[in-house]
Amino acid sequence: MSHTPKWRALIALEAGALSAEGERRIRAHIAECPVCQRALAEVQAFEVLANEVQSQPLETSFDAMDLAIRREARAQANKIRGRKYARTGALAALGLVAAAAAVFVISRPAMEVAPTDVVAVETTPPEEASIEPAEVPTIEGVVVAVSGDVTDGENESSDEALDVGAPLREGARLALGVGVTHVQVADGTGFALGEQTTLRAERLRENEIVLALEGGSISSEVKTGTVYDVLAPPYRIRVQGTRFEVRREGDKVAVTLDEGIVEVIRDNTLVRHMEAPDRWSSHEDFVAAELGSVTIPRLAEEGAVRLELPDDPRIVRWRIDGLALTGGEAALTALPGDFDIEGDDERGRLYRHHFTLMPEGGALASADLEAVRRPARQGHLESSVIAEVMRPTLRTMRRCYERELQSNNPNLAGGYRLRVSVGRDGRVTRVQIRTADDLPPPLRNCLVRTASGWRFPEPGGVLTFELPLNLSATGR
Amino acid sequence: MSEDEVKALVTRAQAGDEAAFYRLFSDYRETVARIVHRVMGPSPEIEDVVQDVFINVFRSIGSFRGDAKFSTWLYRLTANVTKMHLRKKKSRPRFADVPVVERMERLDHLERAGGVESPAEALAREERIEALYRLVHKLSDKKREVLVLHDFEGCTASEIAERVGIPVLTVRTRLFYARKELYAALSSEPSGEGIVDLLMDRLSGKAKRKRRSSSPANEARKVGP
Repeated sequence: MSHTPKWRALIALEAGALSAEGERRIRAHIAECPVCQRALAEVQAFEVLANEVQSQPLETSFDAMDLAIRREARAQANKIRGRKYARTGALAALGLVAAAAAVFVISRPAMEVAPTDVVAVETTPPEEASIEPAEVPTIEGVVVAVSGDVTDGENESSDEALDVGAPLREGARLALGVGVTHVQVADGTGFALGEQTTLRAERLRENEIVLALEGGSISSEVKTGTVYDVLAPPYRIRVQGTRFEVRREGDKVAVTLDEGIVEVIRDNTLVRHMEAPDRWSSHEDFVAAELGSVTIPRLAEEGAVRLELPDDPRIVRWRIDGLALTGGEAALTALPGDFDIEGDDERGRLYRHHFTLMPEGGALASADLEAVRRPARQGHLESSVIAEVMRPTLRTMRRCYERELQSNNPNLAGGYRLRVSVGRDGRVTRVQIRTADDLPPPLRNCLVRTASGWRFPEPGGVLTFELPLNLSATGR
Repeated sequence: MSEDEVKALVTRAQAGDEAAFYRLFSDYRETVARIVHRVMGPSPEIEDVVQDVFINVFRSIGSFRGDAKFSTWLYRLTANVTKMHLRKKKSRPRFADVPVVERMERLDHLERAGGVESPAEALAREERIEALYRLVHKLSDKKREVLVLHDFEGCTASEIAERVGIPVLTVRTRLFYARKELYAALSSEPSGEGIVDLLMDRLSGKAKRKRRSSSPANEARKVGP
């Protein structure tokens, strides 16, 4: 019996949203249908659980956060007032210049300066005019994970690779060859640079982060409320609270947005308002990364320590704690604890070591890596498909048996099992005949050879199945 | 507070009035805590997330233009911050399920707290809710958001549509598929199957109890489309 539960009807029944006739019909169906009985029980079970969630008391203590909230309220209020004063101060300074000009006008009436300008200026309170414009403090990013050859691109004479923990300051330029680099620039905000990427930190301020992508790709995760722009001239990709990747090659720019909203701006004009999930490219032949593929940058965590990965010639790619790094020497910061460190070689073989990172940091040794057999993914073939593939060869298999009966073993009969292994491509990789000791080699070889020629549709993994093989002379 | 009062309060905060910032916190903290609680489920991190939400509110209040209601803007920001926390939490290494010692401590706490339920019942209920949230957190962000708002928070489809900024029809579609995924998960996860079985005892008057492993219904489902 094959039946899909009538979910919509069951949900409507449980919500009391069916007509009397509808309810009568679905109840009659449920009475006869074990699938829908079970499904209704699941719907009801969920309802009970949802009610339990709804009736759960919410106990949140706000006392512990009160001090932090008050501090932040004060800091933000001061920041806003600082900006306001700064604007007023700038206006006042302009006013003072204008006032001087006005005085100048009086002595040199040929100059055209509107006297109203002067009046407007004089309304500014002198004490506010004395406040200096507040320069927003710069912030520093920090390299959280690195593999390959990332260098400080600013210092052309130095080809010293950047290391984990190195600061990223406003104006710095990062140049990557082969490798990956993850940088945290602010609380909850960071980026990961792909291979062959050059990036300049144009502006790293408490209130604004601007990164200029000269070429390559940058994946960003931005905490809500952070002003964060990626410049990929002639475009500016503006974002608040999102995860996205920008690729650039010359004047070609492509954006993949996995989460949030970004705006693509060119010459102060909005080119594209993007809401996730969305992809955009400036040129048809320059493709944005697949949706869902944007790398999540690694962020710094309090208490994290240095973890070093060796320059093991076998490894082309490292995977650790959800992070992928190119092979070779690499380093990252991580919280002390247990990790499964994995590496792939170029033939796809897997190496693994269960590593305990101590509070003082640690380094993995190449010798600790052990080759691991990847668990094969289980494939599936319907029995009807197997039968269809076998059917044309049944006559051949029967002839194998008949030849054996005629030549050597006229009384040969019995029940056997044919064990067939199928590879990912649908080809037979192995055939065994269980209890094959009893089968004469010519017959066994003939059957195995025939079965080895079977070609199945791709089963979506590897697959082994057994078929009964009944040899009986009476069946002829 | 009327809409005009809210607008005035936000305008004061945007102008740098420290008291207005704090007032926003004291007026909306319960609302924010409830949303965070509903989305995250029982978690020791709820207070951290609430604090993080308000720090974000303060830092981005300048970008609130008043196109939508303040409560809608606040909800979206809360949902985003909570989502980020959940994602971070997922990426952190997890430890085994509730250790015995912790379970004993919780039981002890519930005994001291007293109440209508027995401590054992209260603990069982808490564990059921935790198991449900483990399944809820496996849903995609979009489906989880709609399900939580509708089934845990009690919002109507049109309220959700306004809050989330999607059509009502999309709300209904996401809700349907979210529930469908959860129903399947309830039975196929070991912890979930326990919940279903436990609750099926209570529901025995409404539905026949069938063990999944042996029921013809489940056999039929395995081969069904």
